[in-house]
Amino acid sequence: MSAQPDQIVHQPVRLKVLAALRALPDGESLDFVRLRGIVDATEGNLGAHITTLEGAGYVEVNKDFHQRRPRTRIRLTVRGRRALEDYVAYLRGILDT
Amino acid sequence: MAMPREEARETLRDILQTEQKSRKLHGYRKASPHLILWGIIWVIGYGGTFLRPQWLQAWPVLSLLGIAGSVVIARRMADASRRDWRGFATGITIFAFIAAFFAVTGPLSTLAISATIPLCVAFLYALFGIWTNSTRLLVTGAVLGALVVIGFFALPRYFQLWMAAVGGGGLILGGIWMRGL
Repeated sequence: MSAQPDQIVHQPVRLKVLAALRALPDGESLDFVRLRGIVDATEGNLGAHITTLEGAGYVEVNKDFHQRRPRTRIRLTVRGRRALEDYVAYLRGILDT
Repeated sequence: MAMPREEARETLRDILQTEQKSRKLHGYRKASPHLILWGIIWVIGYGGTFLRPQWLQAWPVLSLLGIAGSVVIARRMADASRRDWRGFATGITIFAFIAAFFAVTGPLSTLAISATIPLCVAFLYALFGIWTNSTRLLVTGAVLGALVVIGFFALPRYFQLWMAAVGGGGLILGGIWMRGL
């Protein structure tokens, strides 16, 4: 465990995005609209944070068309899962000291 | 500077709450098309039996169609890497249980047969709700069970129509509601 938290994860909206995705069965993705409802963020705000997470390799973004409508699906990567687990360990470490 | 303990505690709580919310909504999204499908099957089966009692014979076929439909829905919703045999096996197990149940009980009245299956479904919903911490599923099971018993005793002549409306209609409305969450 590092002494300082991962600054990519250490942000409320990004943290909720990773937590929401970690709750899914392995390999499953979440629709952008549904994710927005879960983390309670605006479209622009959530989009920016997902771009940050994607840049760090913590999530994968897949865009396609579903029933003739554009759809964006987000999936947690192995790296993202590990980053969230490390962050949770960091928090537990604070509580255990 | 290290994070204060209180902030760490609140952040962990936020993570847990977000995971629970996500898991619950994921479950609703998965269940929604199945509820709609089985609602349609109930409307056809019970509505048909109300109009023509010999339609009772069509239930095994309707049930197998429902199982096949549920398997197709599950395969479409699952990512390719996660497709497995458990959904199909669950459907066949339930079908085999119901068939064996009626085989050992011997001939029952149309009314008793029509009430037994939805009572089993209500029982399964309630159990699934208890074990997955889903209040909605638990309430759905309890309400469905109560509606079956009420219809059985209070409206025996119109029981099939009652089940088509409140059972089938309820499943369809419940599925549409879950889809929008």
